[in-house]
Amino acid sequence: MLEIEIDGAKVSADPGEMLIAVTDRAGIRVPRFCYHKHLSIAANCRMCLVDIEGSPKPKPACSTPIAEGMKIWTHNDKTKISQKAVMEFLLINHPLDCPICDQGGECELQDVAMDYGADISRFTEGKRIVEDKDIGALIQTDMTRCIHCTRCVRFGDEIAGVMEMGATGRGENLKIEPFLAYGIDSELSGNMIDICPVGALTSKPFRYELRSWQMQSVAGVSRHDLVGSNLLSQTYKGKVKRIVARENSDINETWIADRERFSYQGLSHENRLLMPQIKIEGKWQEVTWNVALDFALKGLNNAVLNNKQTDRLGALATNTATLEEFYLLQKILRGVGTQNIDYRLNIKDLDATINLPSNIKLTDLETLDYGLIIGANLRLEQPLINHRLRKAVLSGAMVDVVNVAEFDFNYQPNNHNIIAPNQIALLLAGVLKVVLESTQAEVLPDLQNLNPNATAKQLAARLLRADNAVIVLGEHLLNIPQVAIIAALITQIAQHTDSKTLNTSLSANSKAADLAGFTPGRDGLDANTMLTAQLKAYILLDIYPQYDFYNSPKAIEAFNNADTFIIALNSFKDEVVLEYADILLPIANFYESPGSHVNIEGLVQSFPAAVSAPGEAKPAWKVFKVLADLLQLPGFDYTANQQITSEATMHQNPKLSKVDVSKVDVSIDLTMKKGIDIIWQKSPYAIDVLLRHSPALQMTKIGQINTASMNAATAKKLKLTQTDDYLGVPVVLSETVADDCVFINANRQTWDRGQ
Amino acid sequence: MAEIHNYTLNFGPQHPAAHGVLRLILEIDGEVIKRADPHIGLLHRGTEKLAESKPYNHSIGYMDRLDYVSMMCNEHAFVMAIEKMLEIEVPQRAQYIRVMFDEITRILNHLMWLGTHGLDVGAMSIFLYAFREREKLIDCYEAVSGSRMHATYYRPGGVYRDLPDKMPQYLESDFRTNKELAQMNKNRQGSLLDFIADFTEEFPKSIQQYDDLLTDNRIWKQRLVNIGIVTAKRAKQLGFTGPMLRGSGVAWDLRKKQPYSVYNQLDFDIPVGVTGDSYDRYLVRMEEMRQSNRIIKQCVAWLKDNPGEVMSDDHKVAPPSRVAMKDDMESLIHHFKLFTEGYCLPKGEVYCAIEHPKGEFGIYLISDGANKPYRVKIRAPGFAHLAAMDEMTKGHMLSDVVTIIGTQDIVFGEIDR
Amino acid sequence: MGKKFKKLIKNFSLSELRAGLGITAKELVNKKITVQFPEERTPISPRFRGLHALRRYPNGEERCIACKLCEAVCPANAITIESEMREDGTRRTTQYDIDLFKCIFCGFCEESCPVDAIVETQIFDYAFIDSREGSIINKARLLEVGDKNEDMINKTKLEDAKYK
Repeated sequence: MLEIEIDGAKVSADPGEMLIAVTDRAGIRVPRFCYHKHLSIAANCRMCLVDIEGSPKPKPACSTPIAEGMKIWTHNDKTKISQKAVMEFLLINHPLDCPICDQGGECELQDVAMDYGADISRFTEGKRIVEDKDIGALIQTDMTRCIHCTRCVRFGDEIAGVMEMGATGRGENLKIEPFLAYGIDSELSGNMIDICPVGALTSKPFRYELRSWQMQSVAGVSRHDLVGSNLLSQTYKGKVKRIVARENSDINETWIADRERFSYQGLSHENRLLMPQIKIEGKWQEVTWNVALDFALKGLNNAVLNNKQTDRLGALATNTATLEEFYLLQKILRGVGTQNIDYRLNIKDLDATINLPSNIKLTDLETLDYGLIIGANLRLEQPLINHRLRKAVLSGAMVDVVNVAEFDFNYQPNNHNIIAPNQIALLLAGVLKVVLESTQAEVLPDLQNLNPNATAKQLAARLLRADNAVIVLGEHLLNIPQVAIIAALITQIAQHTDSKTLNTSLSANSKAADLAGFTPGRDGLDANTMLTAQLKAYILLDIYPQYDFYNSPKAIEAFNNADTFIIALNSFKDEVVLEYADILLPIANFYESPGSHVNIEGLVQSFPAAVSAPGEAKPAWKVFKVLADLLQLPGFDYTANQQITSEATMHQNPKLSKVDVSKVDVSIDLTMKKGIDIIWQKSPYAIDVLLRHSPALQMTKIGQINTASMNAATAKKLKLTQTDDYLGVPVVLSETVADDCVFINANRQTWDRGQ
Repeated sequence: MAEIHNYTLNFGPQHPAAHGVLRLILEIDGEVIKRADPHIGLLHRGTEKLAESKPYNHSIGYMDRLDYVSMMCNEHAFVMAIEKMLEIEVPQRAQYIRVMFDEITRILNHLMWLGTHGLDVGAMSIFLYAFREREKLIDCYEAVSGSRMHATYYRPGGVYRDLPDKMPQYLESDFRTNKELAQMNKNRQGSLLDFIADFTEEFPKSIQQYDDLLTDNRIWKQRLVNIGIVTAKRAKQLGFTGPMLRGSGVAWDLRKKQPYSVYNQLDFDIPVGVTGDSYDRYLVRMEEMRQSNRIIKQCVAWLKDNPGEVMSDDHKVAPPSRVAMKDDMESLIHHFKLFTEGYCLPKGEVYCAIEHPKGEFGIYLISDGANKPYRVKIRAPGFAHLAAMDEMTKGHMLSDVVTIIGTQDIVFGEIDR
Repeated sequence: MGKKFKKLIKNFSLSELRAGLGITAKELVNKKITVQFPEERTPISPRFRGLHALRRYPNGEERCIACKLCEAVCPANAITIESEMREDGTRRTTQYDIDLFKCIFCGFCEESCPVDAIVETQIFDYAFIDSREGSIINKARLLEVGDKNEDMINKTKLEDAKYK
């Protein structure tokens, strides 16, 4: 600890800290443009000049490390004159755009000019003009307004991991522009809008719509992935108009992914469901809520309740529902006496899901020294988890990847092991064997005859050597037939190498579903068996079967069964749903309903509703509450969402308690399965219904991913060429895909996966 | 024997002599007032509360609407409070303009009072003559601010615009010959200052006319003399200010006692009454108009000799000129920020009072450092005066209530706020 | 004694009442100061703050760029603006409503406008405000007022420009 003096007051600080960090902590305002606490120091805007005793000239606070006994003046005349001069310099080339600039009112340049600049200009010469470039559907550029703080350049380089923006030219000709012709397409690119201190980079979908002072900010939490990014939804006249990041250093620092930032556009899509509807003799009629709920009750009574066939009632929900919705729906089902409840729709074999816990904090990911990623395109699937891992790599950690195809990581993994899906279990078994041998543990009988290959030995050695290792399991593993074996192997490996595990195989708000007990009970049917069990009635929460199920056609067929009564709660209109549902209840989507997200650490984050749902749509938890009352179920006397939250979180599901590794009992059958494996992954901007309805995101490069990639050998086996479609998805030949594997990253097709 | 109750009478709020929306509950015994209970709040618009949710400048327009017959004086107190907190310099010329318009406002207010007071008591023609002069002064308001009543002309840092060097004139019409038109436009040939100078020349004659009509008039005297007597001691105790206090013989005037703006550079006298009855207050107000006229004359002379800026050049508070705003960046930013966010006052509190035509009008302002006041309290002189209604009317006849309302110069805009 | 006597004379001769009546008689023959409205009007200052108008550039393009300063500065929240990008990429309003029942005619909107689009004209006798709906004057009507009175607006604003 050092002691320094700022404006005459003693302040203590850590050695090596920059002055600006100390002033920020002490609450002393030092103006700045280029400094950002999560970016490197550039010291090129010169706005943070402070007077240091003994120094002939003022120095930038952002790049001056503190020293014992330093005396700093942040508001004396010398500093003020410097600040004024810098401000004048920054403004000479700034265009007179305030009235038409979207940043007006929330502009750091305006604020600092008001507080530190002169009030009249002495500059009468012409101003320079910089040509704009179209850099994509998300960010609008007005580069004449740029003050060359290079925050965006450093953001690209340091956070997004792709240096998409750069400074070219010198002096008067210095320009900030994208290096590449295609513009900006990183999955975190929207953060540039937040960090740009002026109106050079603004949100394109939000262009010219509103001023910052017209909107109200409501704190929210995103449900698109396992992070639960904190954000602010800014609303105007009952509509969400913009999403910006909210700082939470434990969760998302100051960043949010683009899909969190721009998904709000879907909320005002014309396809929103606005009125309850019931189907009478094949015709849809718009009705009031009372009529609809009576109809629902009557339907349920006729189908299952009156004839005591409650085991033929099932409930399925999307994984983006809130904790409270999961909890109430399962409570209703369990209340009427059935356990046919599930949210895991997109999985081939539900007996073999990965129940591994995640036992590492997000912030701890940064201090790793080794990471092993298995079966994940982490960058697009969990952008902010990937960002934490990237930070670890930048500070010296090693990351290995075991994947079925080579994905673009924004850091350099040590080894990109591209392995056929059916080989992954074998590789991990090899790793386990080496680990067991090295730790002098008993080698399992199934592994006795195994010969670990070089990769396995290398991975094992690294896992053993690392003090702080994590094994990340991705969504792709769920598509692999031996997923149960893989899970068992990883459990063992993690235990014996003392590694942490991070299970990203089930995304969005899946952790909340687990916490709420939204999984089939002992006697209940799971999502896949429900479809074949000819149930008499379903309650479906925001489900769009052509996208959501592993086996969509089978699901659609099951729902279309003539004597199946289906209550569909949907936020968007959908042809397929209209076909099979008997009653359609409009419900709220993101930001329209209070609720809770449970993130990968198990952290429950509750959020209020920012706006009310459009039309007659209601938050699903309210619908469930009323439905439960109509069913005369006890224990539904809720008046507020928080009551449900506290009940759901009190009521820990025993299933969620830590998996006891010693009890994992799977026979490790390593016989290779022949044939081609298909790894089906929804494209990152199509994972839920809201994203699918957000136009700007769909126009980005990531939003348009729609490929079935395979290598030439696989294509030959399948008799396909570059111009063909495979399962309705355009074929792309790529040698970076493993043998015997088709990796499908698709946006909107339906595919019969029930081979 | 039958029990005899006092008669309770509702006076107002829809009564022509109730000066707006005064509701008096009168308890009368025959025609003698036993108790007068003024009910207020019928014109409450929440000005103080509204001010808490707006940047400072937004409330200037609402100050006009407090005492809506002395608009610019209200503004003056408000902007002075802000200026005191910001510690900004107001150019001399702006100060003279403000003082000149404060005095114009005083005449406006007293003319309004004189006319309606006469009307209440039964004199009709005085009302017409008072409004004849008021019209000219209202024209000055319009010429300088663009509004005939609610000027929004004073701004922290000065006044919005300099005095125009041209007065608008009557246009040709079928009803007037050129000669008539020339006659009507005679005093409008020069600048606003010329117009005001002309007014100050003519106005003493008008006052003389009012004097002739009322001062010695036996009916006027019968209605006013010895009505609503307040002793000097009692007036102080009741918190009276302005002509109400001076009518009781206390020479208290903020313009002299706590000079603000440029009053200390001007020459004028403070009239005081002797008995403290309604007639004395009438005489005090008449004399105040003469003194105001004197002050205006001095201001006109000074303003003619001293052209210059009328707004502070500190554009952190006062918006830059439109020309500057359109071609330099700093000015545009300041214009943008001042018109959206406004300026912030330092943390603290301030009380600023002026000698308003009705008494001491004060603004008590608390700032928590934001761009909006944390609290604004308006000290309206009429409120204290109205509170003495019971005491002043007790024992008088019913018709004297009207006289006393008149002599108090009640305006509900400021009382209800 | 003399004083009392004088007072008596004064009282009985009704001298002060005569003087007052004299004034009335004199004013009876004096020129009237009233004007024959609406054919004849009292002088109106170029600074007068009356009915609002939206102006156009000489080429017919509307001036307003939807910066919303007037909406922000309006103390009475009388102005409502909705904006979006027009097809040619410029920033424009889709809605510009002024509620004349709310408006306090303070003139701040005109002061704040960076492009001289919203102005207050000399028009004060607008009788079309007969209902709640009629009091909300929309963009089309504001532009119409501006188009009809552009000459007057231009003249008065030019006259006053040097003071602002």
